[in-house]
Amino acid sequence: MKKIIAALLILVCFMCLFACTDKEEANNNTTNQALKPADTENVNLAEIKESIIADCAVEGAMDIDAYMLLNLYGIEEADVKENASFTTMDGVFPDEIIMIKASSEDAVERIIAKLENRLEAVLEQSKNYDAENFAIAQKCKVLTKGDVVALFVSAQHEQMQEIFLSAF
Amino acid sequence: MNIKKFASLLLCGIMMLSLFACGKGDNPNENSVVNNTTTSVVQSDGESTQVTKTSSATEADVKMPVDASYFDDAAFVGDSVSLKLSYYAMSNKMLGEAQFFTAGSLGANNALWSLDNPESVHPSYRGEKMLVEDCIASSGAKKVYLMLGMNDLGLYGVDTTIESYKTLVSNILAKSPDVKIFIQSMTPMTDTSYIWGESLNNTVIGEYNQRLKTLCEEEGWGFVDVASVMYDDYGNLVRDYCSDPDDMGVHFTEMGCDVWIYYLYNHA
Repeated sequence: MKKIIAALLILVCFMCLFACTDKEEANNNTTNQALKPADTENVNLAEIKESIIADCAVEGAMDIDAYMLLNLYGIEEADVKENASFTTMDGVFPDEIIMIKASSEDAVERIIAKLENRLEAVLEQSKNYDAENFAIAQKCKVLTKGDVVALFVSAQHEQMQEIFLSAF
Repeated sequence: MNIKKFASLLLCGIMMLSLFACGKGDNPNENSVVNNTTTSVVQSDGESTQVTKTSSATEADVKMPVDASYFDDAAFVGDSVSLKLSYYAMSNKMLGEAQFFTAGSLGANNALWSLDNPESVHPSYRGEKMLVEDCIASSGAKKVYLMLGMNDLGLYGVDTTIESYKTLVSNILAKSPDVKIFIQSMTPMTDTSYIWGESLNNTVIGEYNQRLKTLCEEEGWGFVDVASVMYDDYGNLVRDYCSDPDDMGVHFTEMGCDVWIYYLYNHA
């Protein structure tokens, strides 16, 4: 009897282990989270931006305003509820840190498409020109958390991504 | 009247006539064309080469400075050299509402490739990749400033690049016939650039810029000699203007962008 109970307990432990691992993998790989917009209401993009600048020792950050979002990325001002994007240009290609809270669910999809276009353009332009930047861009991806869309094109994209995700 | 008085009056009259005759005179140099051609010797890998910098100025060329708003209806086309200018100027509004169609590795030659070419590189208009001429047509720009060549000279040489440039501008004018064209001279390199070579160096760039100037004169386009304010005493890019002096040696710092923009203000 004791052996049966022990075996059952071991089985339950294993099942818990696998269940937790699967959930963690799902969180790491997906770019879309089924968070309701209300879940992001208390997320302050400006604070995330300040944390990224401080923790990643970013120098010479230049704000990307509505005018630049439209001209560089094709993101319409009406689609943007909150914007905390910036760029730095130490190298040949700029570091592009884009964090936008969209004004609607449709706007989220439009912004995702625009940022994926931008990432594609960076890959094309740097492919035969700047191997380092090309390698970095290959690892970058567009992130979504509810109504917030982000893209970190930077050598420090992993650290920036971590800071961003920890805010949710 | 006695003779002495008469003689004195006559002399006074003659003196006054002489005064008026010499008072106004044309300065033959007042409206002349001033051509300054300087030659500098630059050191590269221990060898001396000649770099020719040219500038010409007439009174007509000495224009009143403009401000940022002058560029509200302007578009800038360029490669990675113009990338920093685009972000810097847009962020600080130093070129007004100017639009930028820049792409790393863009050249006068590959700008003619189709969008379907898997190796092609093209700028984007509001996030959508387009041919240069389509970007400009979509933007509604009234004046276009182009700077290309860094991704051309080493691969295609001066002659082919000039021909491609001519074709590119023709394509732009075909879709935007009323747009004013301004070709910016190609900026120089640092002498420690790792891409310095036989077909790409400041001598070749100088020759290319001369050819661009001639092309502009023939075609009636504007020539904006931005490069003229970028040289150090040895004919190389001023190191303080360069963000990668010991790397590619062609890209700009914010200081370099300031010099560039202020040149545009004064030579619009």
